[in-house]
Amino acid sequence: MSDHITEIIIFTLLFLLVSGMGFVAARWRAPQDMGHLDEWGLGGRSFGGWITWFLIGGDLYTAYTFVAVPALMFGAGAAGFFAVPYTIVIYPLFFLILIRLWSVSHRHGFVTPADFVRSRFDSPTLALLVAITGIVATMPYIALQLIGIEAVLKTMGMTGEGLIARHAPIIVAFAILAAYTYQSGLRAPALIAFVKDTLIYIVILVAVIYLPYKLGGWGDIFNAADAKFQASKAPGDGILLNANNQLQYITLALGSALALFLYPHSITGVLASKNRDVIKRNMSALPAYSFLLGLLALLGYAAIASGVKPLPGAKEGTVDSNTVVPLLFDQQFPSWFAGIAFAAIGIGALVPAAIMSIAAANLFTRNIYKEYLRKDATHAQEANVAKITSLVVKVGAVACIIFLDPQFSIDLQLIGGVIILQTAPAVALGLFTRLHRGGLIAGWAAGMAMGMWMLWNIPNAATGRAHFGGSAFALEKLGFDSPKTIYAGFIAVLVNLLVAVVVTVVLRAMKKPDGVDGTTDDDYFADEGDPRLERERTRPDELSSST
Amino acid sequence: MQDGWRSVVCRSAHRPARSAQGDRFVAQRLANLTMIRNSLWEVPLMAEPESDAPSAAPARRTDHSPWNWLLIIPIVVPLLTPLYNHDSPRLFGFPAFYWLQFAFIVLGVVTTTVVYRMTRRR
Repeated sequence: MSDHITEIIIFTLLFLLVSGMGFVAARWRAPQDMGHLDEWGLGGRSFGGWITWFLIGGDLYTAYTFVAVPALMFGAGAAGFFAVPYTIVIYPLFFLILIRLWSVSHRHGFVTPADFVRSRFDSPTLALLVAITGIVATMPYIALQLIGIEAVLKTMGMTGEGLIARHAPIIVAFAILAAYTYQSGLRAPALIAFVKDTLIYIVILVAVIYLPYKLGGWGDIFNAADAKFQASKAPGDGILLNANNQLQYITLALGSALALFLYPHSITGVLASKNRDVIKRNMSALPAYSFLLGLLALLGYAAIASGVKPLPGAKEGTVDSNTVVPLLFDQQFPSWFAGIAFAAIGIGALVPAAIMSIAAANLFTRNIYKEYLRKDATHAQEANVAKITSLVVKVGAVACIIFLDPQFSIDLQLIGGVIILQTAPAVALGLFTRLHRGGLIAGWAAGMAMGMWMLWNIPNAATGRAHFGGSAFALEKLGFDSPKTIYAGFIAVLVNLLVAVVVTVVLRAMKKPDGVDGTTDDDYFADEGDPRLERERTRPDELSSST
Repeated sequence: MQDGWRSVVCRSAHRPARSAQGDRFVAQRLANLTMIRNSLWEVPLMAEPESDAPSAAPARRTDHSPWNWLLIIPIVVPLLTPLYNHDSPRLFGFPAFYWLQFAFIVLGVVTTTVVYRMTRRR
């Protein structure tokens, strides 16, 4: 522990700084009354371009991503670089979707994607499914952020022996996080994101200039990685893709891109922005983070070139590959700089963890508490329930890490990506067209079943596991005579969509009631300060006068 | 009745507003109720009336623009692995696989920026 004293001091100081900011955030752009879910859970729906950029950037590109992507590159090579096309494709893909979601939510005061589904399809059941899917997918994601912090703490030697001692620093960190999220709501991560991202940008830019200089240039780094993968027996690795994993690479990038903005925490970040323009401009500005992520991914190769050996894992004989990047900083940089890098990763975990717990709390409050437990809840009660739920969610995440094998959280997060995709027909497609609510429910169930079945049947040769070994599903299991693999979520969402459309056609033919659409066509174009918003819109007489 | 409105169906079904509105939105809520009472208009599956006659119905707003088609480029190009799954030519030591994908980030930024600028409401 003593060799890491400088790192620990810098880490702790920066951590305390952002904790202070987290509490002060309650007074930042303070409203007259915090007793409203729009204020606690969406920061007053008032964030401009810069805040939104930091907030969504800090939200989507999490500490776990920053630790796990280079770890994947370290272990498997080019296949891990899917994170780059993934985060390129996502913005043009959602460009037109998110502005519609923002407008209709602004117009009707929706706080969660399930609020929208409830109103659009006139179906509390479908809304409940969307809400539960969102909560279940988000929970393990929060737990993963803890794994990100833990990788850093482990490298600094801040983890003792025994169940509690090993996790004490994380428990303290999360208790502080829980306290200021409770008090400040979404304003806390929004303010902290400024510090986190500034640190991350500095650290990565220094690393990608300094490391090649020290290790003999990028050419040598790539060659070292190539040599390692040539020597390894694993079939799928290499600094380029091979014939069998290209389909997996493409579908994983596309599937993950589709999934990311369906996660409740991403939608929370989007709905917190103040107008459509902010979202559109951010679709051009957020790829700066993709650039950063790509550079960071390559640090996995830098770790190979510098001969990093990952620390042992929780179980005997395993290695914790997530420690690769922290170790690289520990070994290659002066300890004060390593301390800053560790703080960047650690704080990087707090921002998304806070937003995720807020998003899960919003879902519970709006779509379970208010819908089923207390229909006449006031706004102050809603805000209060959400604050308490956010605490419960964090306790749950910490418990996951302490009492369960961390691998379990990783598996769950893998499943989370597949299941959140199953809300796409209702949430994303629902912004453009209305399938029958019965069809959407049937499609959701079919997609979930298909996704679970596929994930269950994916073995992992490297870890010797028979089930939940990854997301690459072998096409031969579907009867194709091919060694190729495909992203399980992608197949599942196709099945979902197919069932939804077929059942819609059948139900419409049977003249089953479709429910009343609570939104109007014009709602999808509403904007901030729109005179139409004040005036009542889409009156029939207005419509007829224009024709 | 112009072409664009052929697909618009009239519904007599009416229910009170279900979307929760805030206390502070009382005014808005009243407007909302009025709107829903008056809103006998429903757009069925795939109906996009405004795309048919945007100029003739100036009161209707739309996100439609031919510029939006540009967005397909940065969605498709990064997914064409045969295009970039090569080691050479290397650039600053980076194999083509890596620097080309970094270049696609720029492609994405340029495209979304152009679409944003060209579709801005004025």
